[in-house]
Amino acid sequence: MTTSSAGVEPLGSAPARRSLRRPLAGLVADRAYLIVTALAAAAALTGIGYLIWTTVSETGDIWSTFGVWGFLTGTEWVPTPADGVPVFGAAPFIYGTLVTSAIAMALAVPLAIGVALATTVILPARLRAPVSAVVDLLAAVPSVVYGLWGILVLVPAARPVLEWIAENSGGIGAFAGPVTSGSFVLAGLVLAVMVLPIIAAISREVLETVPREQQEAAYALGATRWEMVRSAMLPWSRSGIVGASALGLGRAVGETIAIALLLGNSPVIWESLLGPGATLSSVIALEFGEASNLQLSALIALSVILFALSFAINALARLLVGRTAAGPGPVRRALAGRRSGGLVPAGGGPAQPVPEPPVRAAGLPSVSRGRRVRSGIAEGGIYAALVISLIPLGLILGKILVEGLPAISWSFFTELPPADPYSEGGISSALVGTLILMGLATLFSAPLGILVALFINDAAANGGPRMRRLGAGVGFVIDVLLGMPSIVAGLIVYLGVVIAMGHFSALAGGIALGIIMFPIVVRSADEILRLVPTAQKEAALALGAPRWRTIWSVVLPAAAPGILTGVMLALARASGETAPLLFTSLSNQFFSTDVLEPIAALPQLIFSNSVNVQTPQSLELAWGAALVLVAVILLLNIVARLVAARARPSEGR
Amino acid sequence: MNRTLRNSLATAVIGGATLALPALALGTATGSGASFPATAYTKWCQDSGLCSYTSKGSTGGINDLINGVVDFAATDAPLTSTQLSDLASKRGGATPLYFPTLIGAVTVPTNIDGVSKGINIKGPVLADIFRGAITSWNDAKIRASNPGVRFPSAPITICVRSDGSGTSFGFTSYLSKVNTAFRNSVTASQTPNWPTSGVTVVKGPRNPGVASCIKANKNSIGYVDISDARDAGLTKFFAKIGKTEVVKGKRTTVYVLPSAGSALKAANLTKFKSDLTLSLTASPAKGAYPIAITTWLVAYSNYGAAGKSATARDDVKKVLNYAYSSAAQGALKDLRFAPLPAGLITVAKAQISKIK
Repeated sequence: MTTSSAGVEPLGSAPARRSLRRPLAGLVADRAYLIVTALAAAAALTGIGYLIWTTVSETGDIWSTFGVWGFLTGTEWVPTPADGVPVFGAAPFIYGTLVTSAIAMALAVPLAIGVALATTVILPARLRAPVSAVVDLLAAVPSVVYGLWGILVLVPAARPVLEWIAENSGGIGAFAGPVTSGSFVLAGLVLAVMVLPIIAAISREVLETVPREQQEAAYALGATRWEMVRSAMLPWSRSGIVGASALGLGRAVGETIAIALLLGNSPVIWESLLGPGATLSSVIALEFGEASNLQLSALIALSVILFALSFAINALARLLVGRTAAGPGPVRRALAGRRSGGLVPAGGGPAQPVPEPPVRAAGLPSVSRGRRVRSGIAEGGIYAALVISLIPLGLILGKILVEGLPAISWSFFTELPPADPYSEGGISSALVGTLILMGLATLFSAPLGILVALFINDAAANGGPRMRRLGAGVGFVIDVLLGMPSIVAGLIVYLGVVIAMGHFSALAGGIALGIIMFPIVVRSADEILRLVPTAQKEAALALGAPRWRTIWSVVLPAAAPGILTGVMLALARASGETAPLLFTSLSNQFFSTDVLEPIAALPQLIFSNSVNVQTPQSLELAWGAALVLVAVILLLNIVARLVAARARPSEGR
Repeated sequence: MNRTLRNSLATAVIGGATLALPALALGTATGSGASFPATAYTKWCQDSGLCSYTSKGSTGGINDLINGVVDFAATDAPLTSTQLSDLASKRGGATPLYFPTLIGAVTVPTNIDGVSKGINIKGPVLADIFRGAITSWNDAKIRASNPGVRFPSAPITICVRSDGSGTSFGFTSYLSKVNTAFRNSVTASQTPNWPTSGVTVVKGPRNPGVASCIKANKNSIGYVDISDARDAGLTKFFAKIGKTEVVKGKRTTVYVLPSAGSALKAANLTKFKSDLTLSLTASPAKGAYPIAITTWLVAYSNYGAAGKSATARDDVKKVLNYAYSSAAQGALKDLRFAPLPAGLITVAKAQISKIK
């Protein structure tokens, strides 16, 4: 048997095909298919790699001045001292990032697990779906809206409590006064509220992967509901839940805008948790726009640290999830989709309902009182976690509706934001700007992302060993990019695109958002392509179809709805981003559709009308814009879910 | 970094985006920078349709000018020597041309438990607070100028800028002029070295961020322009700043309230420095508010050499001409700024033709 000299390896499972005479045109087209997908991968990675390299190459000065260790452990950050010798140390920012994230995780993880358990087993069956839907909705709310809520609602409400703590702390340094409007505790609280729905939603999906047989077995052995949870569900899904928490942590570490608003921006270590601090991302957001020379170098070095931290957390999450007893399939899919911060394209069939505890047959020994009490306490705790979680979440949704709805009118959509904060106005420029940025981001990320997914999943995977290694390498780079905090995306586009073009522009903003979307698109498309049954591909190949035609006529149509869902979820995530736009699309006072000019966007409008000015008119504008933004994102999520539900690739696992 | 490579890549990216949407561009100049005059500039841009302004702090605006990513910048502080050399090296030897636009007062609002009005405070005492030497509201030096006011014995929180700022520069310039210890430690700067011990320092972004910081923190004090202070509801908490004036032949401490009018008294000048970088702080003029500042639009001396288009240059010239029009200057009063004195307008307008 002779091997095809064209080098395109056929599927291993279809050796008979080799004896068929393949038309030359098909071979050429197959070659072209491989080359096109490989080129797409090369182009995307070169482009992003170039931007990252441009950025990292600016950090040389800081390492040579302070040394890597010196910079990492340096506790002073004085950009413009009187004597003209600036000093930069990363320690206060690393400390701030770790402390705020730790507070957030300590609060959010137990509550999130409670919510996840409540929505899978504990709540009455008919309540589970609606409560889950609310949690999912909150996972999609952009962080600028959480920040808005934090400043306007949480800070004033928390003040008396924090002051009481400060007064009664008995001189413990960590809780000493004075209580300030921005502090570790406040930032940690808002972060907790922000990551709670994300962790809860992923954990729920992890719990749903627990096989029904296992749960029934626990019940059959006479377990109470809580005993079933403890013995059958939690051990099974432990690493998945830890992975979910790690993903929430990754989000907390990269969060910028809410932190910049709520932490008070002082580079300190070991000061009171009720006082101000600063994080890696907040200092980058606040100082990057005006930094030059050594300070710029230092900020970019901080972003490298942030990126590394975020990557390490994401890698850990993946590692842990890979070890979930359920096998990585559905869980990994859940996590991959969840990166979008939105709803998951649930690749498989509907989750199996968790069985109810059986009515105890007469004659079985009754459950002892101690066990009943313990189970009751545990279930009570889970209910309490659900209620505690739903209060702030309900308050946020309620506040957006109550404050946002009165702002909505026809003129709200047709008028420009007012020039002075005492006039009424609208959001026309920002709404159109956001839509244009979303269009550009999709344009830059979706086609390329799908080609790259085809390369990893199909072209390279079915190639020779060298191609397979290349495919795995590309896959790894995509994973690295998944961990890139959004502020870093803005920064690299500023240095590599905005400065090169000599102008802020919608185009640059679209590229920044596109970079955020790209790895999410690739990963979700990759997951969906895996679901297309091998049998379908083999059938097409066996009929003599060349590889490209198999992809074009069989694989892509089957995967299209799933891929579309992935793109929309990535878009939903990107459209709420604020931080990267500050350095790229800037903003525009006017209605503009010119992609080469600066452009307004909804997240920035919310940001500048709540932080900057707080007149009744500007706040109304901010809440109205928040409502519209949440509605746009929600709509994307709903459509994505409908698409996924209506036409998913046929079951082939 | 190889600029040709960068540019060619950028061009390739733009080329890739052939799906350019139908352009609806107004011929506008893009500017960024100072937040102190932002309410005025935003209104001017909106009224004239000649520009779009983004408030991001003076230092941020200057940085954008140095990087060549805006058509003009706005600042409340002249460029530092580092900024000047960066501008020259990155923008083909360009120098900045300063165009003063308006005069305003940096107010010092307080939020003190149990004190329902603005306090009286002397410049040097104010400086001691902001360098961390006076740390409690119950300090004898503060009580001395406020007979009858009961101050809490609470620690002072100072609200300052998180970003580089011309307002910070104006405020610290004044405090440096009246307090040597302040000048040596905190310094007069766009990014001053605020104390790291003694007082609690909370940093907010741009002037509105400082205004909301004062509002949100009990026993706090900060510095902010009149409009943003008013937007945060701080108008009745403006401190009166004490300075020495000669009244009936005697040196007397006079406390002056910030307003457009008292700021304008500081600008009663007849001679100007040739580059128009005038400093109005600590003015000895009668009734003049001591922390009055002016603020500038900054253009490149030579747009071609700076790598900017002739269109951008002409757009900026139009913006500057509008800034000196009676429509623009007349709109300032409602925004609590003072218009420029007529003499200054004449000199500044003549400078527009120097833009190449």
